[in-house]
Amino acid sequence: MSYYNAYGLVYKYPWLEGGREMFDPIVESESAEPLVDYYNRLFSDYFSIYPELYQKLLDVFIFALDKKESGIVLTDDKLNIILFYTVKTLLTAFDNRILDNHVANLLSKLYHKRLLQENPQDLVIISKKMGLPCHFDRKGKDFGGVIHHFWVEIHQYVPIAALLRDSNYQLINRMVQNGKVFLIKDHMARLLQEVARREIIPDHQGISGELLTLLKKINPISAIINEIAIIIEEKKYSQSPYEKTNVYENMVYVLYPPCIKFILNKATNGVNLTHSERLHIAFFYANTNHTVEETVDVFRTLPDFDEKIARYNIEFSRGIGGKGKKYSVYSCAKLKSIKLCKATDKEYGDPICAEGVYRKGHGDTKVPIKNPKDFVFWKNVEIQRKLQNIPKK
Amino acid sequence: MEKRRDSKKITKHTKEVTSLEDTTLELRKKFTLKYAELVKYFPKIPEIASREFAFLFWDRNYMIRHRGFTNPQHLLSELKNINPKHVYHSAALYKDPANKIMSEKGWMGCDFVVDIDADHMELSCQENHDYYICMKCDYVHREKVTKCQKCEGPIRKQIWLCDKCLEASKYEVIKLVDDFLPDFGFTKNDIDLNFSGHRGYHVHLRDKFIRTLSSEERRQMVDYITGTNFDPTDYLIYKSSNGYFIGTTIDDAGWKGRIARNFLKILTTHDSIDSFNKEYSKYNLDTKIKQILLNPDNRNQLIHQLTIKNQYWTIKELAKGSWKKIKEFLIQVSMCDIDVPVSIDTHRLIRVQGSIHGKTGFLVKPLNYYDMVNFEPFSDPIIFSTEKEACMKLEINTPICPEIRIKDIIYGPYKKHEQIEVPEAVAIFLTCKGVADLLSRGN
Repeated sequence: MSYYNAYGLVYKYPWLEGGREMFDPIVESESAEPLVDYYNRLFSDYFSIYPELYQKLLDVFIFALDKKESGIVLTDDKLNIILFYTVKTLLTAFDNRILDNHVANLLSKLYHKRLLQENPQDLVIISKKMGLPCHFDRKGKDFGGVIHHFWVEIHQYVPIAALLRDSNYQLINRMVQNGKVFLIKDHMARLLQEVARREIIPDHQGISGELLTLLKKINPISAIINEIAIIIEEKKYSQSPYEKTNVYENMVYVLYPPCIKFILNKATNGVNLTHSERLHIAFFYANTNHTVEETVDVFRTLPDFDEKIARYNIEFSRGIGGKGKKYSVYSCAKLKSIKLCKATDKEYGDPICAEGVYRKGHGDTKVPIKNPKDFVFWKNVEIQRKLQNIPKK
Repeated sequence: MEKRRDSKKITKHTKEVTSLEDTTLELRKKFTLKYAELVKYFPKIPEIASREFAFLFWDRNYMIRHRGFTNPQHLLSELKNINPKHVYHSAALYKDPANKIMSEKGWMGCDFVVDIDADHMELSCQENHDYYICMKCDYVHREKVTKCQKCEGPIRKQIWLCDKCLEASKYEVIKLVDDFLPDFGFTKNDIDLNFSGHRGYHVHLRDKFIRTLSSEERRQMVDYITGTNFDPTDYLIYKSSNGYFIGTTIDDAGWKGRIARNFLKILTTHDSIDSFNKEYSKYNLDTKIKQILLNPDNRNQLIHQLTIKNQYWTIKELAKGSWKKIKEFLIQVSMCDIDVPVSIDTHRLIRVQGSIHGKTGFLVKPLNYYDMVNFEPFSDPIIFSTEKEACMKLEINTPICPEIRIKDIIYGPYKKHEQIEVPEAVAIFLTCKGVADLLSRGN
């Protein structure tokens, strides 16, 4: 039987329903007060009621970046809720994936320890509230001398297993029977740890700049932001502005390297491609966030198009089937050797390919790019610089 | 079943081969007439209005895709009008299936389709009927080559089918349905099964949960079926200090139990190396190990250990290396051979049940599980006439045309330029396979 009252669970696991509202009442009641004033007042209250909040917040970031687990103690009162959502807000503002992962790893491990201490009935309740409902069987199932007291429906298990790299959690290595995946308590807590980890990492909806400006106006928070920024800089965990967004997520024609543009033009005109050209397209698309369908569509216009063969080869290049090996993009050296490099072509050529790029630590000398993916990166940098009127060097 | 050989040859070579266009035209006519007959028996396509349809034609080597049909009548009338060679629909369901831009189709989910096909299996029979033929000099290669060994000319692969191919496919389907799907919570009633019309079977799962899985999530299930990434860390290991092999028990769940159950099944079914080899020769287990395992005392001891659910397996003569080989053998035997990319792809096109396969002229026949067990792939899906009255005259155009059984009669093998007169179903099979041309009617 559970000993938790209505708030007990949310205090311990702040991402559960009601936690957000307990941290930030504005979510429920729209205030006419300016946002800065509202948050100033809110955090002033929090920091005065919980003087230890400041150090706890700092500790989370310091310990996370130092990859230390011990030393942080989670409370099971409102302070834990405030800590959780303030950390999440700061992560949103910093918009740094490395920071996200380090902090999420630290906190989720602490929650794993907490989950392990729960009695089975409470673990069942918590798991339901976390969206990964497990079932408890007092008698349990004996597999190889190990009693498995918990089970999860296979359709709940598979999505979470797909996120875990540990082979121990892959479906094939689990006790699976009649649509159920049987687990021991430790494994159940590990699955819930992964759910918690996902709850900690923010969605990053492009509001970081605005949020950071707002938070810098809030007194105790601005000091924390400065301290975290110093640690990030010291640890060299800062990201280049160009790394922040994945350039391959929005591949537009202008970002395609000359060799790819040349092949695409041939394909569009219904000219059969050579074997190397087909491979180059397939490997390049596989490594630049293009779908199988988009790749098949390139070949669709070819006179000898055979959907089954094309699809098989494209999937093979992506490590789907066969030996499961995903192929990398051809290097520029390889492309030159097979006469597919179009760096100096009148129609498709580009100075980035022909002359190289200025890079840190190389003075006034241009450094050649090594593969077509480098071209995409540097072309994007060039475009961003043009948009921001930043000189080339 | 009694099988008769039949190869009525036209001895006087007076007939003229029709042009490729004429052969294609004739096949097209035959398919059209057959579709008109099949319309009333056409099986129901679940959620037809949410599926994308695609067609391959007789005279074009590219696919027409992104077609949508709101109801079966609409599709059937289209089939009669456009006379396709192959008909596919998406395993996926879309809000706007006819939209030509994939990202705008509005993906709503995708059936989990398992394609079990002899094409991707390594079978001994393939050596007897699959060839790599030079398109320039007709030289026949039995092994895979990319260019002709004789003249360096381009190669075409000539794929055939035989009872062994289709038995192997059926064996894998039974393994999938009986052994793997129950682990996922699916019964025989939850599956939608069909003969592919060529060398295998398709199993469709349309459960709500399975439809929403992403490719990565599907890979979890596919790996489970194919035995990929099976990583027994604390079992299936030999303990030298104790002299036993830490095995598994038949009551264990998942792959752990599967290994023990299959081991027990093998030991109880086979008591001699000959019998063992009939089923498992392709796995190349050392003869010495087979002799030890099948020695009556050892065999009985292992059967006893497995039956009483003892997970510690002991045979004096077997040491670490041998147990490692037995472990690998048991894992291979337990795997199910499926076409992985088909099941992982969430936008896959799959052959429509009730359509005619353009490479054989066989019906893509829906089956329930029990029908499938007794299904005769060279009889039951034959929809064209096998009567002598409906014979057609052909000339073989390939240097080597293996034999083919249609119903209980074996036709062939044939040689190039051989002129034959065979029933309609056989003629359509050979011409669809591209190994024969029709002889003109005038002669």
